[in-house]
Amino acid sequence: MRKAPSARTLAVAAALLLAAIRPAVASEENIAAARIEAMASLLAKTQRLRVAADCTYDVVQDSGEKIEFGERRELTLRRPDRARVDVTLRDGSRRGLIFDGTQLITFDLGEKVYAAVSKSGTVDAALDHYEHDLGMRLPLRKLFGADLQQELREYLPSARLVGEETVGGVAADHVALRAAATDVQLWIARAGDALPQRIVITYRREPGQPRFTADFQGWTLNPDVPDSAFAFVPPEGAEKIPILTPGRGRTRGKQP
Amino acid sequence: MSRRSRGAAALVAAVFILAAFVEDGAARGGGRGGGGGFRGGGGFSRSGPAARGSFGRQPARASQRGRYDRRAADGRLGERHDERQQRREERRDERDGAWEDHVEDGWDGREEWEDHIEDDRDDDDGGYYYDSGVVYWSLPCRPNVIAMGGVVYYVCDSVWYTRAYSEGEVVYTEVPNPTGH
Repeated sequence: MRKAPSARTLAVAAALLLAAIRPAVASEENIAAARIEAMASLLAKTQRLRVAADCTYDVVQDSGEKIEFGERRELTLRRPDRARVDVTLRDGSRRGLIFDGTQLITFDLGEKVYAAVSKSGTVDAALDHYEHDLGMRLPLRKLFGADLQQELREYLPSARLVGEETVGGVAADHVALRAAATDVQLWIARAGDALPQRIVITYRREPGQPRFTADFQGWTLNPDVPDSAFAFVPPEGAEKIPILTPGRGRTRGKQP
Repeated sequence: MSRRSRGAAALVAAVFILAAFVEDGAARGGGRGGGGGFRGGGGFSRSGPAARGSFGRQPARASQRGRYDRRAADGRLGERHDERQQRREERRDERDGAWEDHVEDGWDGREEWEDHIEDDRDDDDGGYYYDSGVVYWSLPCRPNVIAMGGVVYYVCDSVWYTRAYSEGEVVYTEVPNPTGH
């Protein structure tokens, strides 16, 4: 009868196995973090860009039923103080947002309405104001913010390389990281500029764990974008309306 | 059943179907003021955490922001009809109370009060204003559309509404009657 391996032999074998595996794991972490940092650095320092994104998002209804909605978003960014987002919903209706350095204008061509809010400064400050102070919806704003690297830094230790995959015809590194309340997956182009080709955000703490996805197309870095691209002429008959901001305990009709 | 009576029955049925269709259309889309059509079809809500497409720190959610009620029952962003009626009465009481306070505080005239309302809702805040009321996807009727002082009002059953943006969507919000009647 063959003699069973001793405990000492097993321990040595386990140590050797761990030593062999650990560099591979560390290497995957390093690759994932490096790819994310490269992407964040590139997006944050790019002064002008244009890209389109086909987006989907789940909305979990009160019944628990999960319904998907979608839209195409076209972003034109010209730092320091110009931005434009054109949105086409799946029903064909169009809406958008323009920041021209002095005001934020949001419009809805289907509803024939628009709103204009005075705001000067950088595009980052303006879009932050739009999303947080005015409570307006602006998906993926952080991805195009100048502080993207800082935003992602604290989550980099969780980054992992899932594999090498092709999305939208582009060879990409599929990386995953865990943020405070979300799981984020990114597909970052392997060759050339480290541009995201796809992003999936899972809201793991929300009922039903809804997801937001975006597939990027037509990345153009540093295009020539004239001032006229950020001009807004209200369509004939368009109604100018206000933006309701989050309540601050003030009821309209009462003396301030 | 004779051919004539079958024809009459079919005509009656057609009238009922048409009437139901018109009624439904008025209730759903009548208030859109010339554009867009019914939003939130089938009573489905379109807003939620994933719609914001944010990673990392989440912006404040609708349920945490003020007193907006975002239930989408009957395709409305706000309350069901009975709840809305109750809320409407409460808001009328609030306005009446505010008006009484306003008079007691020594303000001297309805006109000034109306100016105050206008200031409260518009450009003094640079195109936005604070509101803690209820908003609606659509109106309960086909409204009378009245333009007054640069503002377009939608009137249903003596209740006045204006359109506004809320969380990126165009909604209706109840406002004081600008005529004071």
